[in-house]
Amino acid sequence: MDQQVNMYRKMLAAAVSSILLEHGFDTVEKECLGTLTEMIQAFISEVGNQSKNYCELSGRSEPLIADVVLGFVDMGFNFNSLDSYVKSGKHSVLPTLQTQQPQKQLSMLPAGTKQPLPSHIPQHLPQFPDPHAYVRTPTHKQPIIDYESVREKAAIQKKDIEKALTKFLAKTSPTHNLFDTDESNIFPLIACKPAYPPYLSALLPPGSDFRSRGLGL
Amino acid sequence: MMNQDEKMIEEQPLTLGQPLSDFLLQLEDYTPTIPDAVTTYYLRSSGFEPRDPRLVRLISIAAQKFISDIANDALQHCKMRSTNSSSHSNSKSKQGTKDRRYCLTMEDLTPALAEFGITIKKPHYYV
Repeated sequence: MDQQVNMYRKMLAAAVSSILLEHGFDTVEKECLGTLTEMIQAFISEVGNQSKNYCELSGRSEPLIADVVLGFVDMGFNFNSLDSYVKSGKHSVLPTLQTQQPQKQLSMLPAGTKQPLPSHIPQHLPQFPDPHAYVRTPTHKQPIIDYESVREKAAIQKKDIEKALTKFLAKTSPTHNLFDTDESNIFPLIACKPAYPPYLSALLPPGSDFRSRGLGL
Repeated sequence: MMNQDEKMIEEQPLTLGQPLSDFLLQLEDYTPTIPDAVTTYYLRSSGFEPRDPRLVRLISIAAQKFISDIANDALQHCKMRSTNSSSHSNSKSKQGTKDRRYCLTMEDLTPALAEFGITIKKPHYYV
């Protein structure tokens, strides 16, 4: 609303400026333009007010020319020369006001077809959004949890882990070649690290066993 | 000026509105400088609901003439002041007076408005 008032005020200022230009002024102080704009606004408002009062005094609701004339007389405005003023010269015409176009809402990317409102929702309420915004669809299968398949899966997993670990060791640690050719290392075997001396492990008694036996002796 | 007006009104007291009513008919396709919408807006804000667009135009023209008279007076003041100042200064500036650009200042506007019986006093903080 405030913006609109400013807009009307601007148009009045433009009208005042064009009147001043007609008279031969080239520039105007901001203060003077403000004063004249205020005056022209006050003039229009006052004529309107006076005319309305005269109109209502005579028991009418729509103003007639007579009311406006009385308003002019009350303002001390000489309207007899209006005719000659209009005919005196060409008066510039400001461009007509144009109603502001409401900003067109950008259409978002539509997806799917919108669902109509169910019967228990009044029709004036906003439409449903695009279905993808609220419709829920399961995206993956429910896991199978019966005993057989779980065991099978566990076994496959275990096998895979072992295989992977073997492969890893075969790649990172020294290997033996299954065949005696150098060119292809297709079946690498994890090298066995001989302990020195090899017979030692056989001679050493296993710890826990020894202790229990010793205690038993 | 006021005396003239009074005389005019006294001379033709019965036909006061008559010439204006005739004039109103001419306003059917005349567009005043002030757009109709603007005048209508201000008239409405003071309680006046114009149904006849010609009445709006009449008031627009009246307002226009009101400002126009003031502007005319101010211009005379401006011209007088500039000729006075140029006559005081040396005659070399005569060339400049020919294509003088007129600027409406408060100095000219104040006496012009005083002739219409309007005294303006601006607060210092007015922008």
